[in-house]
Amino acid sequence: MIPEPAGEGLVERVREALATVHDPEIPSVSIVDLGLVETVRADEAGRVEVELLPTFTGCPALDIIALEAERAVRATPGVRSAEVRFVLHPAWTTDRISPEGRRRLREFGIAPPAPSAARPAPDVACPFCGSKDTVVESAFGPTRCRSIYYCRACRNPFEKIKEV
Amino acid sequence: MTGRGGPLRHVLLSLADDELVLGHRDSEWTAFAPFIEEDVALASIAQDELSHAAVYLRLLAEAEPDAPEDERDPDRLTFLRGPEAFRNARLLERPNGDWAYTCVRHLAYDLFDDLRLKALARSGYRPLAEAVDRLAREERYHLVHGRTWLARLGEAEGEARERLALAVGAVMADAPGLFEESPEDELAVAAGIVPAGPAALAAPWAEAMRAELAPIGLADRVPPPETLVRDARGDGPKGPLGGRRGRHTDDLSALLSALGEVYRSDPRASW
Repeated sequence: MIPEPAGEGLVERVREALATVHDPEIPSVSIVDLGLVETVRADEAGRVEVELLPTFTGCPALDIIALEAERAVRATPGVRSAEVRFVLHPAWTTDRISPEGRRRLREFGIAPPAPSAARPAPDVACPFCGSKDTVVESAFGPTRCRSIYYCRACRNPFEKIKEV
Repeated sequence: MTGRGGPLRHVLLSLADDELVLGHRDSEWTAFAPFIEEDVALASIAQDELSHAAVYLRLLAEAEPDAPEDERDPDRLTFLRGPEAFRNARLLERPNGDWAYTCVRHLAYDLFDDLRLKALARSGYRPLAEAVDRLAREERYHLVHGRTWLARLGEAEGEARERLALAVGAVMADAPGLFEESPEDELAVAAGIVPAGPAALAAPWAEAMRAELAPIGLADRVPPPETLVRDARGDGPKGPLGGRRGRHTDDLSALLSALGEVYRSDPRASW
């Protein structure tokens, strides 16, 4: 066993490890950039506890995300045990998605949510051509967190993260 | 805060069972909705409602760690419980009927649930108060869905209009079941689990429902609050009441038999 410094250094390394974990339904964005990581605690003995927030409570990817996160944390040098769990409080909101997360969503073809402070909600820009000549097709899309839009300029359907 | 079978259990089961039963009805539309976007919408809404039921059932399991497994395990509570142990309002167990009934019932329920969640944000039972913020954010999209459809169906004429008016009448006839009080409610208020019993939501609900129906000329179908909380038809087989006390119709028995069919084929299987 190689002794590893605990405390702050370990928390930092665990956060880096979590940044390699992705939502399987949005593989371009890490769970850190999505704002899912609420707390990371580590003690001297290398025991780590991670609390994640679900985007939507009915998201079927939650179990896989927790499993992948636990695997990444366990593989971090200095970690002896890891517990990863989802908590409902505070509620995840789309404002938790980082600027980098928003950029990567767009890159993946998904329009990012508008910031909740923006009222009235601004026009939705097509992630493919950038046009704002878009219409909502359905509030309910292929996953719990996305709506379906249509771009009248480039005639592509696209998805957008719902504001919550 | 409470012993087993007490007011907290009643409150959590009422919440869980409303969501579970309506969510199952929503899921029955899969592959039968008017068009594919609505198939996806109803399946998504079903997924939300079922996951919300799971949240409430997990809160129950955490609140009563010493209860026997059949009374605390969310899967066993969902798939093995008999209808007499369910606390959902009867309105939600009625078969889906047509699209108009489905949309009107959902909107009526979502308006009720919205008021209920706002009240529960002030619950003295902290795990519940904390969970409802998360759930209310998701429910908002159900309200928008229901409103969009009501407006759309309300513009139509002929048979569509007749069906819509019939649907509104049928939903209003069962609406008193949402506000049904049971002895546990008084205890739940005294224990600070809920700020007020379900009857307190009747007046604000009637006002919200009238506001939704006014633009399509059907606001007069909403019963006055005093009728909603004192329904004369009671809990006979056709009446709106009884659900919150475990008195249900055969519709719930049929629904539960379908819901638990696979689970009961091998209750020890691991999924």
